[in-house]
Formats: sequence, structure tokens, C-alpha cells
Amino acid sequence: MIKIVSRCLVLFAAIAFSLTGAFAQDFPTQPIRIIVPYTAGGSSDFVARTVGAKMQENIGRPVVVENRPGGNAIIGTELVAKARPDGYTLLLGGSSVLSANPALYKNLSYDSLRDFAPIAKAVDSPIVAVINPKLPINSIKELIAYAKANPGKLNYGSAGVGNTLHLAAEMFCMVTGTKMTHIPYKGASQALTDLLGGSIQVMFDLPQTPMSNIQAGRLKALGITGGKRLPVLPDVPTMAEAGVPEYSFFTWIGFAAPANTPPAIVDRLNKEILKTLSQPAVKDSFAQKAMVVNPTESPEAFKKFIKEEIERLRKLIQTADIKPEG
Amino acid sequence: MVMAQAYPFGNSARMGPGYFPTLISGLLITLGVLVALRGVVVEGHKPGNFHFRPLFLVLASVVLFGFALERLGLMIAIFTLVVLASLGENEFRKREVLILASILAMGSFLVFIYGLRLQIPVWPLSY
Amino acid sequence: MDLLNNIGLGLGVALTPINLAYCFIGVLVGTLVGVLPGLGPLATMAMLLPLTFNLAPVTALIMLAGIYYGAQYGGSTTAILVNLPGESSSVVTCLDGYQMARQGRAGAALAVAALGSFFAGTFATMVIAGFAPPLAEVALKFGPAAYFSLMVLGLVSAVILAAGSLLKAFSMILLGILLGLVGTDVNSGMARFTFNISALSDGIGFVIVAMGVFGFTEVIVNLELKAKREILTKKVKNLWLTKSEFKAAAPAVLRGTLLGCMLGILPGGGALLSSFAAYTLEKKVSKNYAQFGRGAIEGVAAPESANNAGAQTSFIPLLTLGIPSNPVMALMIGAMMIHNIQPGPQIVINQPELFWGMIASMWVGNLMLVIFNLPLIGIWVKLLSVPYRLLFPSILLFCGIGIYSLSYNTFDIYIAALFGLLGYIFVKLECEPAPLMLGFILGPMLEENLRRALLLSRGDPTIFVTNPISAGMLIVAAILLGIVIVPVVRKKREDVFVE
Repeated sequence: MIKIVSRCLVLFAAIAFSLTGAFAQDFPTQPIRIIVPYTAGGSSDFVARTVGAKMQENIGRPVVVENRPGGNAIIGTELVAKARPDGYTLLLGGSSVLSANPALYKNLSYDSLRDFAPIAKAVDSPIVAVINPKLPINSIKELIAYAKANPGKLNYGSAGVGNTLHLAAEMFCMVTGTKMTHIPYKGASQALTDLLGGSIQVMFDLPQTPMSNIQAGRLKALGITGGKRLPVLPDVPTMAEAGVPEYSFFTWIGFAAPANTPPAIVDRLNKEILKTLSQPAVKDSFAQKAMVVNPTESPEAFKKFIKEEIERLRKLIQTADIKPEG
Repeated sequence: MVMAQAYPFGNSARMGPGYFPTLISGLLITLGVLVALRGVVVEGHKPGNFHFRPLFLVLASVVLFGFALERLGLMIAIFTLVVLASLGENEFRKREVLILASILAMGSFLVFIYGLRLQIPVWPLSY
Repeated sequence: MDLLNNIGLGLGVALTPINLAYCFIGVLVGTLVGVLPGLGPLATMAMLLPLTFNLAPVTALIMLAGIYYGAQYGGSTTAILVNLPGESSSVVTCLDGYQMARQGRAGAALAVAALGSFFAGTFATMVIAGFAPPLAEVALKFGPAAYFSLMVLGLVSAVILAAGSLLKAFSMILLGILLGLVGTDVNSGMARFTFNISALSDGIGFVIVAMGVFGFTEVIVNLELKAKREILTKKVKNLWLTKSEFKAAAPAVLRGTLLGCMLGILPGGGALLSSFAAYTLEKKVSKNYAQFGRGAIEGVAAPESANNAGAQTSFIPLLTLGIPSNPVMALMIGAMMIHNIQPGPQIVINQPELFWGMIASMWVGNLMLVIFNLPLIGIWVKLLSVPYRLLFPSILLFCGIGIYSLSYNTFDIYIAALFGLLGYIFVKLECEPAPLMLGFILGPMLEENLRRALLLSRGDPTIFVTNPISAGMLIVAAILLGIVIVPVVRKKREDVFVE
């Protein structure tokens, strides 16, 4: 009698176990939507489309990218937070959405740790310090010296209050003990225009945006965060080489699903994404845009990473006293 | 001159970012008062009559369209819109309206959903 | 000589069968999208972006560019026929174009729009070909102070835009500015007037307001005037321009083109501002002053040429500096990135076929559009004779879908309906919507640049006069203001004397 029961239990367990496994195997039976909370054409969009296209090849199901911009990326993010946790709606979330926003806004309509099941981090992007070549500054050290001699005189641009570029600049000031004046713009390109025109003198930006102007000599790049020089900008020293090893700032882009998505599905997605990221063609096209493929190994590692980032940024924001309301 | 209304947009403006709006609304209020005064002092004709029926029906049909769109889907929303809006017209021919609605529904489906692949829910609860 | 070689190179690229085909597809889709109210070239380009993955980079860019300026052509069609700006830059065309349609001259209006746009497109293409780099330099010289003064100039000219009472026009401008301020403030990150609705945190969309005030209001008003309406649409005169119309329109086209070329280069300028500016310039300059707002053909010719010229020249900052001057250009950058092209100063040197190929195909695209659109005029005009009771629900529907497709948010539809109501009130009070729209666009830019300029000068207001460009603009604005106000004041004095 007991034997029968236990056999039944074992059988039952086996079936249940294989079912969840089987469920994950059958997983993509519908098209997968990746929501990008920015307008088409930006680097996040690019990552989503590249990874999405390769994933589509690998799993044989359509992977569609949808742009839902607005509200400082909050609208698109909210959408995924409230979506059905079946693995078919994913968020392309980056550092600004998942770690900066929670640290900045008191009344955020989502909680990155609670409302999302992180899947994998995809790429990191370093920050480059660029200046208008008319300035008599040729290196980071000179920049610091100039800033110290003229506190508040240098103007730096950002893509908005609380934006990554703003935070990156403030961190630099904090770490080097300098003071520069923040001039916010509605987007990096507007800031870039004024940088080229000379109204502002400095920008701490993602390399992609000013890249062509740096290569053409219209802008001077003084240093780049991170441990290695970028292949696309081989003449730009790292911050450590330039004498400021304490300055480290990265933005990153990753994928997340709504919370409560079954772990088996999250794992499956994680594997697929890592698979696409390991392909050399993908790595190369990202490298050209100054993005380094640097995935987290597992969803749990990603979650831990996000948590740490939020803490780090919170400290920065408090020290620098950055307060966007609403 | 027409009897005009002043636009008292005296919102609670916050300092800093509030500076400009306060300035503008202040100007606007002043102007509004001026226009109103002018309307009173100078001889003029009255504003046109408000015809409420078309106004209400057109706006209601659009609002209901918006309301129905996400909850009930495109097809139903189109029908709602067309029927309600047509009520605003003085001659309401039931058959014509229904035919128009059907054509528009089918056409919209082909062009917007099939052709342009817009992400609009077509049937109820398809989201 | 070099220029001719380059153009030859460009044509060689643009006229290959595959590029021609995709150019055609692009302009075709663009026109259709432009006709549909709400749905704009940006959304369409984004949707078609995946299709471009497998194409050669030049082909992809040619198609996307075609969509953009094709939409400018299409937008004027609905603006003229049903007072619906299919594209935000066609708002100005509504003013006189629709009046012309009501007087039975829809064919002429459509024709002048198409021809003017073609001329402008050709001229702009040549400008880009010859002067792109130096023009880009000029664009860079515009700092926040200069922008502010430009906005002031724009707002002063907005007063001219109005046909009626000066005081009311001024109020509408101010109201427009206030409405434009809804959203997140750039300089502090705070949300203003948003009542905590996240859909409002980016402000109210221009298209949404335009839909409501022009589209919905017009439908409501037409439903009231049932009897009068039938008479007006019956008298369709010939479909082409009369000689006198042609003569009147030609200088308008030229002026509009020049203005459009200049304003299009400025980041943040583009097609929209150029059409408004061209209209006001034309109105001031033309002898036909009184006709504006009642169906003056120059009132269609100037803005249409301007917005096409502006659309093309807004490619300049993109192609020469790698900076997008509006969201559509930002998308083009994205498309280039996908094809591993680095937009920027290097393109002209490293990839001349790309640069010149694109420029040449812009002209080809314009040609295609004109050939394609002119015969269609007859069909469009026939559309006007459809009984209104069938037409207007369709208009409402397309507006509704169009608005929804912008951000997939039904809230936007409600806002548009609200503006429909407001528009109706305005009509009853004889206030005009055009100054409102201009205030709506310029206001926020005015404030943003004012505060930014002051921030940069650390609170010193003299920056507006020490910067030469800024000072120049302010002087012109003051003169314009004088021109506008002096006659009114003088007239008042006369009235007083008479009494």
C-alpha cells in the first residue's frame, strides 16, 4: 500500500517537475514584446533591436520592439510593471530607469526591486569627459586645476535634472572636490549643440553621442571611466591613467520582466539573452558604439547589482543635493 | 466688440519654475479684464448662439470612443463613435449610419491594424 | 566643379533601381501618413525601422527620409480640404487653404501647395549640396540668448498672424504660452500644472491641441451651419491655378523657401516654425493683406514652401555635425547606428556616396511627390462632395485613431476633446486659434532659453544685447512691434478726434 502511494507520489512529482521544465521548454509560443521606454533611435533602442533580432533567429518566434517614451521613461516602465508576468512582455531597462529613478524620486509609481524580475544585464557604457577645444585645458588634471581655480565658472550640460549625465558630472565634482555649474537641457543633443557652440564648456556624456565630433577634432575628450581604453577612442586615457582612479561611473542596459514571472521562464530568457550577447558580431557592433558587453551571470546577480546601484546613487544624490520634484 | 471672458488662470505657482507662469497669467488676467471692459464700453454684437446638441454629441462620441477603445476594442469603439456622432446630424438614417460604421470599421482594420500594425486592441479583452 | 562631380556621384547612387523603388515607397507611405491626422512620420519611421535592417544603408536612409518629407506633402491635403492639420506643420495651411476650399478653389490650393513644396524642396536640396557645412557653423552660433530673442521675434510676429482684434490675439498668445508650460520644467526638473497625471508630465502634445481646436471644433461648427455649408462646397471651379493666382503665389513661394531654409537649420526649428514665420512674413509684405485668413493664395503658398524647405534643411545639422535638430532626425541617427554608420563631420569625407546619394534622392523624392500628387488633386476634390453626414464621423474616427497612435494613451483623446470644446468657445467669442498655437510652441522655448541664458550669464540680463545675434533679433522684434501698434494707436487717436 505504502509502496503504491509512494510510487504515485514519485510519479506525481516527476510529472509536476517535468511539466514546469516542459513549460519553460514550450515557453515562447507567442511573440515577445520588448518595451523600450525611449523614442526609437537611441542606444537603448539599439540594444533592444540587436538582441531582439538575434533572439528571434535563435528561438524562431518573433521578437518585437515597442517604443513607449514619455515621462522620463516612467511611462514605458510602468507599463511593464503592470503587465502579465508570462514572459511575453519585457522591459529594456537601464541604469536610469531601474537604479537612478528610484534613488531620485520619492513618489515613483514603481519599485524596481519589487515590481520587476530582473533577467540579465547586457551592456555597460562608460562616461567620457569632453570639453570644447577652445578651452586651454588638455588633460583631466588641468581640468581639475582650472575648476579649482575658478569655482563655479565652468558650465557643464546634461540631458535633464537627475539624468545620468547630471549624476555623472556631480560624482566627478564630488570625487575631485571641484564645483561646476549645471546647465540642464532637454536631451543630450541639445546640450551637445551648445557645447560645440561654446555656451557650455564641459560635458560628461556617453561616448556614442559626441563620438563623431571627437573624432573630427571639434571636441576634446579628456578621459574615460572604466579600466580599459575604448577601441573606438584609443587616444583617450582612462580616468585612472589620467590621475583620477577614484572616479568610476557607468551606465548600463539590461532586461527585466514583471515580478512574479515564473523563475523557469526568467532563466530561459536569461540564457537566450546571454547566448545572443556571446556572438562576436553582436559584441562588435556594440563595441563600435562604445558599449561593452558585460552581462551578469544570473538573474539573482543582476538583482543584487541593481540593489547596490540604487544605494550608491542614493548616496550621491543626497550629497550633491539633487532634487527633482514630481 | 464681443463680450469676452477673462481667463483667470491664477494657478498656484511655485517659485523658480513658477516665476514665468505667474508672469504670464498675470498678463493674461490683465488683458482679459481689458477685453471685457472694452466689450462693455464699446457697442458690439453678442457672441454667436451656442448650439448644444452638435457640440455635446460630437464631444461625447469622441470621449466615448477613447473610453471604449482600450476596454472594448476598436470595432465596438468605431460603432459607438459613428452612431453617436451621426445623432448630431439632423437627418439620422439608421441604415446608412450602420453601413458607414461597418465600412469604417473594416477599412480601419485593414489599414491600421493589418497594414500599419498599430497596437490597438480590436476586440474586448484582447489585452 | 567639385560640386557638380558630387552631384553626379549622388545621382548615380540615387537613380539605381533599388534606391528609386525604396524612395518611392518612402514618399508614398509618407504622403499617406501625412494625410492621416495624428499619425506622424516619426511613428511610421519607427515602425518601418526593422524593415530597413536588411537593406543597404543608403537605401534605408533614402526611404526613411522620403517618409519624412512625403508627410509634409500629405499633411497639407487634409489641412486644405477639411481644416485638419495632418501634420503639425500644416496648421498654418489650414488658415487660408481651408477658406479657399470653401470658396471652391480647393484645386488651386492643392496645386499651389504641391508646386510650392516642389520648388522649395529643389531649392533646399541645392542649398544643402552647396552650403551645408558653413550653414551648420551658423547654426552653432545660436546660443540660448539668441534663441530667446528669436522666440520674442516669433511671438511678436504671432500678433500679426491674427486677422482680428489685436488685444484678443495677444490674449490667445498668452493663453497658448500658459498651456505650453504644462509639463516638466527643464531647468529644475519639477512638474508644473500636471495635477499628478503622468501622461501630462511631458506636456500636452501640439498635435493633440491642433486636432481639438482645428479638427473637432470645425466639425461641430459645420454641423451647426448645415444649410450654408451645402452651398459652399458645390461651386468647385477649375482645378488649376489661374494666371493671376500664379503670379501672386510665385514671390510668396520664394520668400517662404528662403525663410524655411534659414529656420530649418536651427536645431529645434524645423518645418513647424518656418511655416508660421513664412505666413506672418507674407502677410506683412503682401499687398493682399486683407485677404489673409479669407483665402489668400499666398497664405497657402508661403507656409507650404517654407515647411518643405525647413524639413529638408533640418537634415543639415544631422549630416554635417551628427546632431539631430528634432526627434525625426534623432531617429535617422538611430537608423544610421544600426547600419554602423557614424553620423557626423566624417560622413562627407568618409562616405561621400552616402552623403551625396541622400541629397540627390531628396530631390528625386520631391519630383516623385509632385508627379504623384498633382493628378490626385482631382480625386481629393471629389472627396469634398461626399455628403457631410458621412464625412464627419470618418474625420472624427481618423482623428481619434491618429491621436491614440501617438502614445497609445486614451487620455490624449480626452484632452483633444477638451480642446474641441475650448475651440468652440473661441469661435463663438471670435478669438482665433492660430496665435494660440504659436504661443503654445514658442512659449516654453522662450522661457527655457531665457532662464538658461540667465543661468549662463549668472543673472546678468545684458547678455541679450551684448550677443550680436540676439541684439539683432530684438531690434527687429521691436520694429515689428512698432509697425503693428502704431497704426492702431493712431487710429484710436483719430477716433477720439472725431468724437
